[in-house]
Amino acid sequence: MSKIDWIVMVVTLLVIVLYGMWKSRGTHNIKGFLLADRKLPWYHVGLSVMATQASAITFLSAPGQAYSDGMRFLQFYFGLPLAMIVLCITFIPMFRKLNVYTAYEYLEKRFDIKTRMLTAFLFLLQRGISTGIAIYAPSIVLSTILGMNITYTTIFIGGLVIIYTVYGGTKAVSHTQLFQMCIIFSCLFFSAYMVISMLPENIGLIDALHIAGKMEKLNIIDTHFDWNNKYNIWSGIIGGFFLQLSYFGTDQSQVGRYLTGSSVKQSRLGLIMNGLVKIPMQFLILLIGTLVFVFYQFHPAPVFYNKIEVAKIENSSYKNEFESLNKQFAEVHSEKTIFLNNLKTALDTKDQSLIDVTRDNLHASEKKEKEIKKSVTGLMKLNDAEADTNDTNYIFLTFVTNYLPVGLIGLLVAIIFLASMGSTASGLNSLASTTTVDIYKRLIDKHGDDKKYLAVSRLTTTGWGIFCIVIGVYASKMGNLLEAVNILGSLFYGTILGIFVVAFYMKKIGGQSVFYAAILAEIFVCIAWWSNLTAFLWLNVIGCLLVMIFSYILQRIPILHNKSVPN
Amino acid sequence: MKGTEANDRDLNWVYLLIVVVLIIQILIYYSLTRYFA
Repeated sequence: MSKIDWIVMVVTLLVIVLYGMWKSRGTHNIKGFLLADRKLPWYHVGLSVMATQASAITFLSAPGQAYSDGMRFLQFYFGLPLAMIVLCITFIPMFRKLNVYTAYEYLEKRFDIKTRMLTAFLFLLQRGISTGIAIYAPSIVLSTILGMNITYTTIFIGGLVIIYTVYGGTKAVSHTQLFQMCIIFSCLFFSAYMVISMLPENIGLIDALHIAGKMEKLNIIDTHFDWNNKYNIWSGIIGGFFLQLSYFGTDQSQVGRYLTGSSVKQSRLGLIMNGLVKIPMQFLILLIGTLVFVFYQFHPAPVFYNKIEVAKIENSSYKNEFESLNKQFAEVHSEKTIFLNNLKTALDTKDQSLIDVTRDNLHASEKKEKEIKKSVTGLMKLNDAEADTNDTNYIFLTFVTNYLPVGLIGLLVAIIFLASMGSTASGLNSLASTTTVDIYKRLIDKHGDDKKYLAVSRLTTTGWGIFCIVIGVYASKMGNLLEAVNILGSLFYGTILGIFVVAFYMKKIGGQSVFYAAILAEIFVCIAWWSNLTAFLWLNVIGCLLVMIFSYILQRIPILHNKSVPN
Repeated sequence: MKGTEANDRDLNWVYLLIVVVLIIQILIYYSLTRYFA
């Protein structure tokens, strides 16, 4: 990075963080720290909800995902708008009516304390690990730019986030997120424009889309139903609906965001905004990844995007083998350029038979490239069994640092930091809320004063921050980060959602039944995942339905029958 | 939920809008997939 990039990055970070801290000054009570005094307007709520979900992972991983796997990942978000409708109608008024700080408080009012604790525990486990992964993602940026060990950068970034979150609480988080999202949107549009403008002169946007389509990167919709296919329209709408409903309805990092709305209507409008904007935003991010793919078809592409791993193999006894594979890769790449020029001619002359032939040739070249890459990662594993052989998180970053103009690189890197800080801060804030409200305030000190709870909130934020850093250090072994987070969420979200669905819609079910039903369902979901029974999105549906079915059955067992059914 | 806040009837058309926008988007993405394949 040039000096100008460093200046742009540092100034952007400082201005936004200081603004958030200035706005959150005078936070002296737990309501202000955890709920921003419930005073925020709808656009604040909406942008805050979006910024919480859009972590650095979104901006690093998603373009890489589109580059290597195409745009089919977009289907993952199709259930989101429908989930927003259900949340607006059912969840928001219920939480607001009971005036709760966390979603899990409601469960004690509806069932009993053990169900509240079980759900809070599942949440803490899942969110703690996910936030750790979110801290690790921007560390990739720092380590690539500075060439530092990723462990140190994870600790450094995690430390920064802890200071910021402990000081500002929810208010600082929301105010910073508002700014972040405005800059993120502007930068995304500009990045898309830059990629298109850097394509060869005779290749326009439509040509680029044709090339991407013929090389199976524009595979947005897959209507073929398959239980084991990770992303098709059915798993996206049905599985995605359950995942998003669970994420937004029962994950405190999101519930905590929309509970800050100044009224039920403001909270609802915030979620509606998210439902309308999320898919187009994700489409744009994936499209940038696809365009980067097309860009690299006409420019020299590295065989492996993680420079640190490449440097390791270049300095090992496998150096010669690696160089030979690199040479083969470059040959296939130049062969592909000839096919691409043929494709361009075929498209211009609308020669369908030539298009078909060229498409087959391109697929064959792609296959060869993949085989070479497989050999390269094989060498890396031979050289170092601990090597990180998944480079999707480095693809967009390599493009940004190598090709974007001075100044914009610094801004994009700042955005990756800010996005991570926003979602990590929300994560830490929600972990602290749940630990303070659901565990400390409920089990340890029921009658403490506000100042004490505020101090405990700050202490638990620090504690969870340290936990997340430890997880972040180990996150590098998890492959594609975006998928890792979603798979982890799917393991727990279905069960948690099931508990809330039973609470809202199955009024005759008592605490005893739902508690054991949730444990049984979670065991089943873990077994289903362990045995690769189905693609991960379906785990959300399975978990939720199992809790409902088991609760219904257990409610009919006399020993477990709970006589006092609340509400 | 019988409270007035719980049933913002003026938001019903927005819920419908969300569904319509989703369907239109899926149709656009489907067309893109087929056209450029």
